[in-house]
Amino acid sequence: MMFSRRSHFYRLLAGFSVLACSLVSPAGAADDSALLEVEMSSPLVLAGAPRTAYLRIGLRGLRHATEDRAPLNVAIVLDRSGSMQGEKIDEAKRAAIAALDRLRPDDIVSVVSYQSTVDVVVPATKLRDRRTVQDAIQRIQASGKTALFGGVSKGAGELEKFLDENRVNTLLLLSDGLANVGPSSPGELRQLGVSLARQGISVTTIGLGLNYNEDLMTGLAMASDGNHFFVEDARDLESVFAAEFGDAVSVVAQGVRIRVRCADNVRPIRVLGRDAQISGQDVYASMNQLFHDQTRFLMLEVEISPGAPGRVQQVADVEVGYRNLMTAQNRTLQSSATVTAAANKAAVERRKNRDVAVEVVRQIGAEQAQAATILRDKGKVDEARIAFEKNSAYLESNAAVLKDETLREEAVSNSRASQKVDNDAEWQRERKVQQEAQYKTRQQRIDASPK
Amino acid sequence: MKPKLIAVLALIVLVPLAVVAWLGAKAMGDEQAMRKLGFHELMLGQLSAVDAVLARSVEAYRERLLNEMQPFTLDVDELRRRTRNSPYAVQFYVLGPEDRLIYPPVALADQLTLDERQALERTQQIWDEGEISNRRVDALDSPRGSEYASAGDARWHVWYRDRGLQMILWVREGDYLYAAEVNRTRLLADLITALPETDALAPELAEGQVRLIDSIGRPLYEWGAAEPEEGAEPDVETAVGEPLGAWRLEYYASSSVAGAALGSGLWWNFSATWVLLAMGVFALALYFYREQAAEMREASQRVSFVNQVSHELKTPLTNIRMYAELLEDNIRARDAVEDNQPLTRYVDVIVFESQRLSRLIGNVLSFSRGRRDALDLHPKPGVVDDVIRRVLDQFEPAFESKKVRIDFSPGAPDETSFDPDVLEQILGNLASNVEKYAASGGVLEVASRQEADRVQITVQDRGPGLSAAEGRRVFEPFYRVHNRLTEGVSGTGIGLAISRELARLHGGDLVLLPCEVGARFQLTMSCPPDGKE
Repeated sequence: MMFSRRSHFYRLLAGFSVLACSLVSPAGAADDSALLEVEMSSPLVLAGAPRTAYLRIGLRGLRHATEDRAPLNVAIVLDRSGSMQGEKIDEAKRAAIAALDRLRPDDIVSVVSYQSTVDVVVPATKLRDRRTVQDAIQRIQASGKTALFGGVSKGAGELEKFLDENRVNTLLLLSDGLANVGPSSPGELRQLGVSLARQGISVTTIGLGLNYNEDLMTGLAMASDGNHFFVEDARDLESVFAAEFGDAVSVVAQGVRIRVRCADNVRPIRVLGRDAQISGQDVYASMNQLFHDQTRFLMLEVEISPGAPGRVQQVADVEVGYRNLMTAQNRTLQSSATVTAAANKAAVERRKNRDVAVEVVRQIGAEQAQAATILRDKGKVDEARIAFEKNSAYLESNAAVLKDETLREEAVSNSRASQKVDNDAEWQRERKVQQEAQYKTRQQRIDASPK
Repeated sequence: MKPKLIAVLALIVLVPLAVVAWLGAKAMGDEQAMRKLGFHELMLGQLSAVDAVLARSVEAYRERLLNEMQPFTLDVDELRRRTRNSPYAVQFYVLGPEDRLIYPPVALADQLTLDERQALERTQQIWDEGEISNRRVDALDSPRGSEYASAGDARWHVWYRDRGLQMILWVREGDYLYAAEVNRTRLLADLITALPETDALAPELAEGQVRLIDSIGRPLYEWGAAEPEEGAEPDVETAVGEPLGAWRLEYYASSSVAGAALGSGLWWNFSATWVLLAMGVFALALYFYREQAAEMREASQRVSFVNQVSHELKTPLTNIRMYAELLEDNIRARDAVEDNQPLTRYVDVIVFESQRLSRLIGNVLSFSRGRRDALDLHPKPGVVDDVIRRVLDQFEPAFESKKVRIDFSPGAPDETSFDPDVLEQILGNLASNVEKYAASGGVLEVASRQEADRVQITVQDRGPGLSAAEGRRVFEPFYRVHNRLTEGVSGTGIGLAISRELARLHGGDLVLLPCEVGARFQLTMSCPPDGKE
């Protein structure tokens, strides 16, 4: 009964969207911190049978005129298990202390360290007294096992004390080993990440060395929409911390909720690379943070049943809600996309949106690389090698057609992976490289070149 | 003598020490058991306090879930929005009348999201079998049931899946049942946030470690500075209260804490005291032993001195005695002619006294030889009665002067083999005693008897006699009966002792027989008839 009411609502909405689309053209909307762009893989669709098409929803963070930024609420969670002894812990402490320099006195910082047990080294506090925080970090010593879950829990607990939708709430997790106290499966950590993300907390994970569980670390980051870094050499930690804090201070909007409402003769198939919910005609997804001068994407695969040639077809309405951190207000942007049915296949190809096509290939390449990795995990070395090789060829051919250098780089990366599946030691490292690369791809986040 | 002394001293030292040790150990054991019990109780109390923290966290979580569930709605879009945005629940559920699932909308299977399908997979059995809906609120007997009533009568439903605890919070509202499936990792994270850090233990637990363990024995969270050894057993454990009843809290005491609590300090104190005591007693024993040894050394030096002197005296005395006897013989021969009475008497005295001195020296030398186990016999053929007679003859002048009559009944006339010197010495001692102590009786009866290879001699006086107690001790060396009679009488106190020893050496004995008047000694000797030797 409820459903029929809803479909009635859709029909109304569809009618309205056509009107909206004609008003807001080309499909886009903006306020002072974000710009919403909705593009189709091609504005034309071949008339006749249902066709697969891709919808790219891009959200670009805008730089503010003033140098002002949103205050941070950061928890630094450091692994101080026995394996961190020596250079690793020293570099980690140095990196954390150096990162503090980027913060302002009104930013909130907490520091948690964990081994078998967990210590709140610095409880959440405004960074008025830098010296105390630095000293506390300096005193951290490494020993014992790895209670990663406990560390993240306590870190989240510190963030929660000052949880504020107008602050950038970030947990920075550093680990070099396998979690062996408390929950330690990627699934469990992902569930925690999802929960934290829903409260507006993102978790950035830094895997140090070759012994951490990259699935757990990427899973946690992915679920909470944070970053993930693979750092092989502890001396690179400082730059990674700097990059992460650079990100945190460039957040212009957060709590991004995207709703895509597909038109009647458009069927949502799947969202590439990220978690999303498809419920009937509706697609829901969320991103935690939007950074200035960067664009984040949502790639939606749809099946369109086009009408007669020449007919303009409504594809979807997009609504994006978020917290504008500059104005400390909730904002909503709306846009929509249309396609026109065309009789001529060549015309469809000619009008193809190259950027969207590249992104589609990139996402599919990442999916296939993930599948190849899973084959290797199951011990199917030969099949994994073939899968990587095939994926490399796929990326290479598309790079040629689309004339895109980034795709060619990914083809090279896959080709390298195919050569390393044989050797366990090399694969251990390569797997981490692959996971990091695939993660970056799936984050669908690129520097926005000013148009 | 020395080994015996050492044994006695060792006994004196070791027995009390052993008794003290045993009593102490027993007391310690009791004390330790008490302390262990107290320690256990204390730790259990601490763990209960931790459990209370967990209970508060669970309660807070429940409040949050309830907040997200309210206001109660049947609107699927709103429920989906809540599910998408809830940090605490992974899925909300609504059951309508007749317990049909309204949300997730199973009736519209193609509209279900992937998450909803997975959620139904997890919980289908619960809804199909009415595990929650068939439960009546008042039939619940949860330990914390009374608390539920306070907040909208929401209750937990707990089940196990994927190696872990799964929880649903549910509440009935009219015809509808609203439920929220807990994000269990988030719940755990919240519990951990509420639990202490490494060093934030209660003072009593500071040196140990507490672990929260889940239903499959996996440690979820640990705190406390002391890492227990791999595979160590918890010192105290307790189950977590409902709804996390399958979890438990374990406390591992560090060895130092457990030691202190269980009284290893106590043991140390006791051991130290005991050792000090033992050292004291040993020192005392050692002191006594050294004193005693020094005394004995001195005594033996004295004995050896006396021995030497006796030896030195023996040869000149033998000469004196021999020449005195020669002189006596000469004088007697002359007396018969000239009747020189006084001269005879003088010589008699010299002879008698030299005999007495010989006897004394003989006793001393026998005694010291007996101490060294160096007494031996020199049996010769002879007649016992002759020897008795000779001894009595020697004493005749002395007895005569003290008006003592000698009454000898000889009964051992056969020749036999024995040591005449030994017999002479024994009889001399007995006679000398009579002369010294029993002269008042006025008579000395001596009787001998010989049968087969034994000779028995009885010496009886009519003097003051010996009491039973004295009788028992007269054979002890250096024992002298003290009374008015013995006062002023000289003696060494070894005569009877050495006599008995000699008698025993001779295969017989010297005993004091009971009698009504005076003292009656009986000497027996083993004297094989001559030639049978």
